Amino acid sequence: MGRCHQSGVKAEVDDVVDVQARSEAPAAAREDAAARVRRLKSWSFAGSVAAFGAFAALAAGHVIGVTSHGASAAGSASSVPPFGSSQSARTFFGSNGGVSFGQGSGGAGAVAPPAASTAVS
Amino acid sequence: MLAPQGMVRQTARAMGTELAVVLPDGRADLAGGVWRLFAHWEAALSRFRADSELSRLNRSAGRPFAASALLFDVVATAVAAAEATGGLYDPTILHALVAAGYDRSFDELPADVPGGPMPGPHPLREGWRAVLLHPVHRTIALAPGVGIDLGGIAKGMAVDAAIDALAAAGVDAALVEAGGDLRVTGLPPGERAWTIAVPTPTATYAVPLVRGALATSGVARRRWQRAGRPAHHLIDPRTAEPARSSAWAVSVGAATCREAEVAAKALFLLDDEARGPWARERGLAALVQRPDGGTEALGAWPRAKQEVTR
Repeated sequence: MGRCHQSGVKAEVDDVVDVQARSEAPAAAREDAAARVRRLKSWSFAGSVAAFGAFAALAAGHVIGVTSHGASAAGSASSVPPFGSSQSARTFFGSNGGVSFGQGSGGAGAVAPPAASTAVS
Repeated sequence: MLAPQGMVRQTARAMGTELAVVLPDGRADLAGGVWRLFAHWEAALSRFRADSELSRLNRSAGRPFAASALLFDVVATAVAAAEATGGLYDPTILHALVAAGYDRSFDELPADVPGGPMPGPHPLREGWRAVLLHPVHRTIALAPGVGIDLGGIAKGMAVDAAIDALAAAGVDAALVEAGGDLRVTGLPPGERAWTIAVPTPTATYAVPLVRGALATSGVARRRWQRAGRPAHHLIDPRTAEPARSSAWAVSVGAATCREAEVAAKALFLLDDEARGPWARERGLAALVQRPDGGTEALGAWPRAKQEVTR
């Protein structure tokens, strides 16, 4: 009985050792995989930071909807004042003076010969 | 066309279109400066010249481009116009224009452009928001795959620049026209207005212009066949295809030629119901011309019709 018990215990211990031996290898693999994932994550983060930095460098200081007025007729260098985009939208159709039409002759008198034509361009 | 009494009318060709300038008899020599201005703008801003600054900018898409003051100003103004029209005008239609067959100067374009089927309606990939401007460094960055066409607005701005230059030179009265887009300063001697012809499908009317600019957009010119289908140069940014409109043409009056030019394109694209409120909100005068010869005046556009007899 005692021997039987002893042998049974040994068998149980052997089983445990065997199980431990079998489970140690996947645990190491899991740890190795986890370490790789951590390294990949850090590289991925660094890559994202670099990509963001590159885009930020391209976009830095660039704005959408900047406008300026008063380009020289000859296209020579001139300073260009920065305006915000919302201001651009407001000012594009806001030139001083507007358009003004005369009365014409209302069909009663002769029309002067046209000096120009706003034909379809 | 006839110059008013005491003035002389001269013509030339640049930016792919006919130019005209009307000056007082004693200042006719100033026309040469106007031609040089247009030649300079064309050299810098033509998309049909591989060596133009605009072509180099388009080839630099994806990285910042150090621009001249002229190119930066025109691109910045085009972007502002796109924002002000909610994208109805958009300078980033270059690749849509090329896809529609308009890949060379209109003078060189065959009546029927060969090619496969058009890509079909689709919104511009990114539109004008893909144009980044750095006013301090004067750089322009286009997103990869984005290209710019400045044809119409550059023409309008060149007219404005020419009129400003003539006024600065002390000219009392002048008219500058580029392919139907025109602006005036002062008045002809003894006249109360400039008489401007507005051709419609069925008649030509005279409009008395006292101050400002006129421009017309429509499909009577710059049209062709693309693989057997009709195409034209007015691209709708919402579909990246030649626009379908109830109008034959839209003429707009505004303070400057650039405003008139941009507004004419936007109004051409809008529905009938939307045109009136859109023009009123922006203080514009416009004449919508329909294919059957019918017209609708918007804003301060003169209601009285005076037909020009030939």
